[in-house]
Amino acid sequence: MIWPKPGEWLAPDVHALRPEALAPWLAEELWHVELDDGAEEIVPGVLVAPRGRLVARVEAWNDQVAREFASACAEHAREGATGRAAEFAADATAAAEKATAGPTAVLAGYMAAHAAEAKEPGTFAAERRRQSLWLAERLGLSPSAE
Amino acid sequence: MTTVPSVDEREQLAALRAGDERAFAALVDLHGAAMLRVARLYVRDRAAAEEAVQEAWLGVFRGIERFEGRSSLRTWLLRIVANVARTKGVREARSVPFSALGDDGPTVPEERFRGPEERWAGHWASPPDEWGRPEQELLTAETRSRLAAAIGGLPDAQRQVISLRDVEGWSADEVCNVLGLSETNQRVLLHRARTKVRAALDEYLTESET
Amino acid sequence: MSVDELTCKELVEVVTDYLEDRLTPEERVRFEEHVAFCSWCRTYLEQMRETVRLTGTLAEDDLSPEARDGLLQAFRDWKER
Repeated sequence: MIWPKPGEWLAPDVHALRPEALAPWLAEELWHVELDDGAEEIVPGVLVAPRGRLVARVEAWNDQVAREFASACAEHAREGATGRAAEFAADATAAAEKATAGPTAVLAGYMAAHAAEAKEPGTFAAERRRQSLWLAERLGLSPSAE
Repeated sequence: MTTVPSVDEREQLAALRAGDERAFAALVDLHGAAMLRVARLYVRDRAAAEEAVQEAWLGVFRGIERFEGRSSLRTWLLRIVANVARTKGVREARSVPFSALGDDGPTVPEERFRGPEERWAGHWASPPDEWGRPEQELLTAETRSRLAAAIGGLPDAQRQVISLRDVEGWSADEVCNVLGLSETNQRVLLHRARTKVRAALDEYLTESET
Repeated sequence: MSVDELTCKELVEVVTDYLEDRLTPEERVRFEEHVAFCSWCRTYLEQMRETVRLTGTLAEDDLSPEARDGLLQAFRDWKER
């Protein structure tokens, strides 16, 4: 994928995430994005606007932090997990061992969220949010202001 | 494809009505291949398809004074040949009439996915193998031949839609206009066709690895 | 599923809708969220794209010279009626 240059307006339909929605979307790089007027929130935490531009890269996001993130997700999944939840937690643990900045980190978090759901139905989204906020803090990102 | 005749098309029509042979030849060269392609959707024999194109043009000559320009000239030509070829095709057909949407049910066999009681229900149980070949290597005569065979083996309606959309590169609107399909029906047919063609390609590309 | 997300089995049924850009914005987010972690569905999606690309390389038929001549003759006959 060819990254556009910072500062250059992109159109149409640029997507951006609030920090509390990070976990499902981790890629090799992470960038601060500015969205133009007319941004809509399609699902909680995911915004789309007719125009947007890259502002600055989040330098703190790398393979090592990705591995930490994935491990933290898996550890949380293992806490108090029994039966099916423990199976999901074991999957998350295995995935975390191979996690790098990108889909593999997302996968570990995804599996951990299923462990949470198995422990207590209806908590999948909350677990994803918790994971995102953990990461946002770890990366020094302030939670959603606007 | 425009929805009303373009300026060029109005000029072509006027020239045609005036009996201008060069204008007619230009129209044949411009639209002939597409007309043949549409005819081939309904009659498999090439000679019969060319006959259908011929008959269609006779219909055009007869109808040219009455063409009101509510669609583009191209759309009009293609609809005429579709009607002619469809009639021909029905007379030739020996098989039972096909349902508009073809077969029903999931397009990828259910057993490829984990069952509802399993961990990771609904996820791949036997996931797709990577084809692992750069695009250039895929563009061989053998691959194209397999593709053509896969398309040829599709139920009629699916074959028609994938031929016009993906082989010929027509837009969804154009296909719906000429085949008389709703956008949704066209998309369902396209989906079924593409899924089967992908599966045929997958079988071919992964068979040497088993 | 108890969770508000797309499974692989559901994804393969809507892959054409996605490529045709006929999913709602919300459905599209769910679709892309799934392929963000699921390498198998990414593979499947890419294979569908590849299939469409390859299908586009099949050659188009032209009218044979005989057919073309036949049409020109038919035109002359019509003019003369």
